[in-house]
Amino acid sequence: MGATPGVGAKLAARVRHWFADLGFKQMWQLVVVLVLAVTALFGGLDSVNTKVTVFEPGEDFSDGQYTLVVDRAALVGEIKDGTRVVLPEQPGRHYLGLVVRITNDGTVPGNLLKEFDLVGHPDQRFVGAYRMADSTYNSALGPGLSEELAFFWELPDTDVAAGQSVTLRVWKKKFIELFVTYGKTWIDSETDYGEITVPVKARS
Amino acid sequence: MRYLKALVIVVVIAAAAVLWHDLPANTEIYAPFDVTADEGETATGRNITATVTGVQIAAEIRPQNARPPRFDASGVWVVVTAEVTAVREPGLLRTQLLVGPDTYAQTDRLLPSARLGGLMQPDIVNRGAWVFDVAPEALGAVDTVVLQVWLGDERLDSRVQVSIPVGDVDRVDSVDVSRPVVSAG
Repeated sequence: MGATPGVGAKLAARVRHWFADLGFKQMWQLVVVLVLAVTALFGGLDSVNTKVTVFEPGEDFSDGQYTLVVDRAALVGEIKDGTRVVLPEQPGRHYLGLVVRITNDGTVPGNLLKEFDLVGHPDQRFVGAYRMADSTYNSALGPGLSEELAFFWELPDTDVAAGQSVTLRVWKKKFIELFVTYGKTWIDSETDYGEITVPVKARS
Repeated sequence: MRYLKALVIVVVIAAAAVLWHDLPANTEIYAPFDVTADEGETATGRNITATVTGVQIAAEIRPQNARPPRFDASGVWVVVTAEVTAVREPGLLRTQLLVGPDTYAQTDRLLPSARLGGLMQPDIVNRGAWVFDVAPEALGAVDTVVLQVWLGDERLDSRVQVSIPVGDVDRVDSVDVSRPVVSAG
């Protein structure tokens, strides 16, 4: 007389039958479910919904790394500081300047040159950020420091006119440890950003 | 037996996922080896010798031959004068100032040629200044700031770390910043 099968053996037999009864289509569905489950375990199903925060001139906006207040935008043909030419006049081109008060809320020096994306002007060239106080070039800002800066883009003089508006995008940022290279840095979000539309003043 | 294999696979994948979320950071695995010193002391690592010879805090700097001739800080200027030499092989000089939890890089107001930096060569002494624009609130919240200096890639290499007591630092209205001087010995 044979021994009665245990609970484990019964369960194993039931699972074996269940697998044996699966059709080809059901097998594929099972594989898809397993792949999704493993992907989720490794963070592959994290939310990727785009989130846009609209902000206005004169209003604080924090991208995580910086708090910024956009003051105004204007068109200029040449930028001078006294007799010193900071950005020279160029035939057929003009500069779009954006005046911003920006504060580094992080704990490491921040790169300023990738802070804004000018939206919808394919023939643009970002020129740089300059301190309003003395017109010196400013590529980075230390933690806890605040500066009033002018960001400049060079555009065809037929692109953007006084009275029109320009739209700029500021990507939200996270301070993370780098996996492949070494160190920690601020990385732009791929989905979340702030967007501002600024009226443009006349060329001077 | 087959079920045991399946169970092992599930456990291994789950363990890999847990590990993936809790991997040691590169900054822990490849951290540099700090060689500590005080202001005025010479610290020597595998490929770097450095001495901080002076520190000043000022509201204004006057770099040699600069335009404009003087710069006001966004915060306050911390000017560190030092001597640096490579020991074994050429290496690109890197530096940063730690003020509490904050890290400061050299100001970009000075031209690269006006800052102590560039390629260090063995037994060639470079004397000059590093200038940092530091938030006064951060500086007021600490007793000591730490200057870190290294050559090239800091990973698993020596990094000189000099402690500077803030209370001992000269506070002046303005600092003249000279261009770096290079000499043999």
